[in-house]
Amino acid sequence: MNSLPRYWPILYILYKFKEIYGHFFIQKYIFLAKVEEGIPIKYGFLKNSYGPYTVEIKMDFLNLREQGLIDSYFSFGLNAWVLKIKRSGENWVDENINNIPQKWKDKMDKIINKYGNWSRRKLSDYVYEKHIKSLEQDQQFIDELKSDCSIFIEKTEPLLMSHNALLLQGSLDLIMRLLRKAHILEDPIKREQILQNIKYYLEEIGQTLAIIDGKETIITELNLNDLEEDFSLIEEIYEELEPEAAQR
Amino acid sequence: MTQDHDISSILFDANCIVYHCFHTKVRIKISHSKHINVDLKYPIFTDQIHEIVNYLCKCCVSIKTIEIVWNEIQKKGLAIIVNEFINSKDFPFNSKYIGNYEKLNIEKKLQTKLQELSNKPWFKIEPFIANQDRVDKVIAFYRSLLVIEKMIQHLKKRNRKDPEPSFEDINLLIFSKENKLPLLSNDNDFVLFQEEIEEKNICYRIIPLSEITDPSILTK
Repeated sequence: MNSLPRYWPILYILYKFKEIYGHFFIQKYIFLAKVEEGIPIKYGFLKNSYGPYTVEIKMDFLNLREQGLIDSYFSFGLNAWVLKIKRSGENWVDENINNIPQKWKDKMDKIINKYGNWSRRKLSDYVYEKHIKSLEQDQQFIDELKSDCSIFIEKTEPLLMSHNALLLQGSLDLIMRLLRKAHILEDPIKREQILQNIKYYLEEIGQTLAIIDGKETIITELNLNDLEEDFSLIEEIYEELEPEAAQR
Repeated sequence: MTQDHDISSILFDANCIVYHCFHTKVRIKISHSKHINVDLKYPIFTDQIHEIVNYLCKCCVSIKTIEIVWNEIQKKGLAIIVNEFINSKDFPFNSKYIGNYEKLNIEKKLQTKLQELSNKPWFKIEPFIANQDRVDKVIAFYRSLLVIEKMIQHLKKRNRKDPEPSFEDINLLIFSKENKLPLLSNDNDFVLFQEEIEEKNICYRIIPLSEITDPSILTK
């Protein structure tokens, strides 16, 4: 399973369709398979004018064409690129089909059956409404949270050093790092959950800072066990996003 | 160093306890994208304190501190020392990659070490609050030192006005005196004025950590 190359979804989709008219569709099917069905696809998507897009698919596509597994040509009649799987590409899928977990294949088939006959316009509108619009709204939300976080960081800087002060400063530092990364989360549900967790945690910090309100010395005496417990949730999210930096 | 009775316990100040706990594995960022696992120790003192503790355990000498000092370490001491250490020239890595989150993580790991220490059979935390008149006496003693150059320089260096140590440290001195326990310390509030403190019988005995080259000296 781990030995599967990241380009397997390109070949699998072309194997099912035999030919597709335009890179747009390949990009969107793979994006939807990742975000709606949760298939662990290794491509990372960014928002561009055509919706979610990754240059990695394009690069893999060119490499696969060079290897002779697929082919593409521009059809003036269709006014689109025609992407086709070649015999050697089909052989690759036949040889590797058993390495692809059955549930991934089922999920990929579900995406193909659900969106496979949609027009470009319909698919484009759907992806925007369902996934990109929320991303844009979330970006606004992220910016608001970042602004709150910056204000709190400023307020906690002059606190006298103590375990509680370090808890506030350290957790705000981590939240800011998370907010800087939040936009890369493609799964809108997960993104929403993370942002809500951060919002809740920042509210708790806001309440704590209101209690301190200039009386810096009382911070040492406050019982922040609840805050500390809630912070462990934020840390879990960070560890998932940044396993390389995971401290615990 | 000679003892006027068999030593069965030694009192540790906050620094000695923190140095003992300051030994933990952490993940440190060393460049823009690289992290490594390191064994983080407080230079010199962690090894020295571990050597002393091992020796004392072998000799069945228990280690004590008082509850208010212990609580202060948990609330403030560890965070202060972690922060100072990371910003000091002794920190063996580039501190620009160490944010407040990393500091918090190091401090939390040391808190765990502190809990482990409290569970050791040879380590005891004594509940103790000195009478106010005894506290006042210690404060008066330290204020009497305000005229000596050593104290003037000490306060200047620490950017402090009051010569007396913290309430917790004053209690530690009194506990040492009342229980005839030597106090192992690396705190300049104690070690710089060792001679004056012992001469005025403010504390039973101060043992400066920096002077211990061989732990066996503690029980001779």
